[in-house]
Amino acid sequence: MIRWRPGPTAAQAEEAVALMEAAFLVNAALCLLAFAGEREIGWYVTLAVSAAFAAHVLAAARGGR
Amino acid sequence: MARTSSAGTGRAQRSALAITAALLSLAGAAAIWLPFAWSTSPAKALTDGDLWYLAAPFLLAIPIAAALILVLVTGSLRPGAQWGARTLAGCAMAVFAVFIVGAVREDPPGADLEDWLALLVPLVIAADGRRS
Repeated sequence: MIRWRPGPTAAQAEEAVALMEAAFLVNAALCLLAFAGEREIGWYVTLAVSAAFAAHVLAAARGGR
Repeated sequence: MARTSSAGTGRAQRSALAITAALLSLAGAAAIWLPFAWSTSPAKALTDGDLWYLAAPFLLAIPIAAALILVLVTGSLRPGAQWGARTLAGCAMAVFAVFIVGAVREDPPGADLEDWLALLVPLVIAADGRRS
């Protein structure tokens, strides 16, 4: 799905970013679920950010095939 | 011809996604200082002690925002920056793994569905992100 070697193309750069986004998403998913009962403004912002990152990760993964 | 048009549409969709992700990543960077739960922001949790390992990965929003904007503006990232991104992602995953192992040892999820979801959903995302 995602290559591990850097390269000069935009797709390879996006894959490197997608790895950071995936790492962010892992923790965000845990926090969003764990604190779902205590939602505050940061929770909602993180939800929106996570949705955008998830879409970008999926797009990068599809582009990398 | 149709293939070129389809490829162009795909590129345009990816660009729109990248722009959206870049804009929202700035919001993600701001969210470090916004209260997430119990009137505590990730920035506050970082300095308060106990939950620093949950708060630290939120800092990734800053390099993600910088990298997304750089990719949009310059069209690429230097190899050093790409290795940096991989290293940061690896460190965040390692912090998460240490937390999960510690949490499961200390307090195994019981019959509560929410506990299982909080454990399994991030693991599925992590497994998918590392699949090659």
